[in-house]
Amino acid sequence: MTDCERLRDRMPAVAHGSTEWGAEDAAHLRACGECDAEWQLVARGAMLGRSRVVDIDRVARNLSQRLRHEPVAVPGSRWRSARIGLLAVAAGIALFFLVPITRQPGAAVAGVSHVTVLPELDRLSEDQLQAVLTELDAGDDGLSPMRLPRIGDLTEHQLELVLRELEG
Amino acid sequence: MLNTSRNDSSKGAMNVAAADLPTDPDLVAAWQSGDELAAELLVRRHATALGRYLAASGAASAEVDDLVQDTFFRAFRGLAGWRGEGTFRGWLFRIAGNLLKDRFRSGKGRVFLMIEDHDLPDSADPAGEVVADEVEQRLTEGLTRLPRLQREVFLLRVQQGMEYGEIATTLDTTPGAARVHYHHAVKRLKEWLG
Repeated sequence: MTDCERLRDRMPAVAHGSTEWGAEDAAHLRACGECDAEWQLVARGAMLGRSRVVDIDRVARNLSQRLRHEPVAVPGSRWRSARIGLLAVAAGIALFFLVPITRQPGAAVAGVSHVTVLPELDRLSEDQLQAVLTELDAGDDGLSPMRLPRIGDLTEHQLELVLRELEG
Repeated sequence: MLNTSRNDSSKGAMNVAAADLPTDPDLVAAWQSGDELAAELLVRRHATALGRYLAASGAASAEVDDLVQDTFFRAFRGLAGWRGEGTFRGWLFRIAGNLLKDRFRSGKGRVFLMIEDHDLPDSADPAGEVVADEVEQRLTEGLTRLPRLQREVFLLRVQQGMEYGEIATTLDTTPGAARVHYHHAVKRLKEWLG
């Protein structure tokens, strides 16, 4: 470490009064323009904001009030609530598409009315039923789970209905 | 529990000799045990330094007291995050720096200090009527132009007198990196003032 580096390392401590320059240091500062410029900077930096007055009584009083009365926030509770909410919605949507198969027609909501044909299927004969199933397998309007509407297929209105259904 | 009662003049922390003053960890432990006065002692010990730091970091003058209060509030509410690592003082400065960063992001803080606006005399504060030193104003303006880490390292080292180890813990960096940031800050400020 050079004399300059040693001197510069000590500057904050000297500026704060925990040590002081010796005769050699003072001579170096007089001779070295770079060190002298840095010392001026550090000495001024140590004084920065010294006239700044904080109203400590007010801060202490208000802090005490806040610590007594403001509720303690549980870190991550907001995210936990959001995750639970999302899981509930996802579960509800999944149920929404599975449960209507066993519902009465009157309980169906818009967007999935085509699954309410199932009760009518109960009245069909074996032959008629087989014909319907054959048609569904080959047709465009089948009841295969792969053909059921997905969340991304729903309109804003249908989504709102889903949410209302979930919220009861 | 640490005795910080105001009424007990023989034992109260407000009245003991300097050598017997409770340490910050003592006061933190006392506060956690329900001694409210311990919090006030910590405020009295660190509020002024925090205010100076925040003001020099570019906090709007009118907001410094509130920021100091918010810093302590967050510190006491988040003591579990401190766990005695580093100094309590460093923990406070870390929170203060983060608060100020949040203020700047939300547009509530002052990103650049205008010389004309800095430390205008406060009519309610006679001491504030003293015309601020022009070089100090230049230096403060130069600080606001530094990258955040350089500014924080410079202030913690020069204004607060911290060693690189404490700065590193406070800013979650290494002593070597803190030294480099300090070097760059000094170089830029010298050029700015030059």
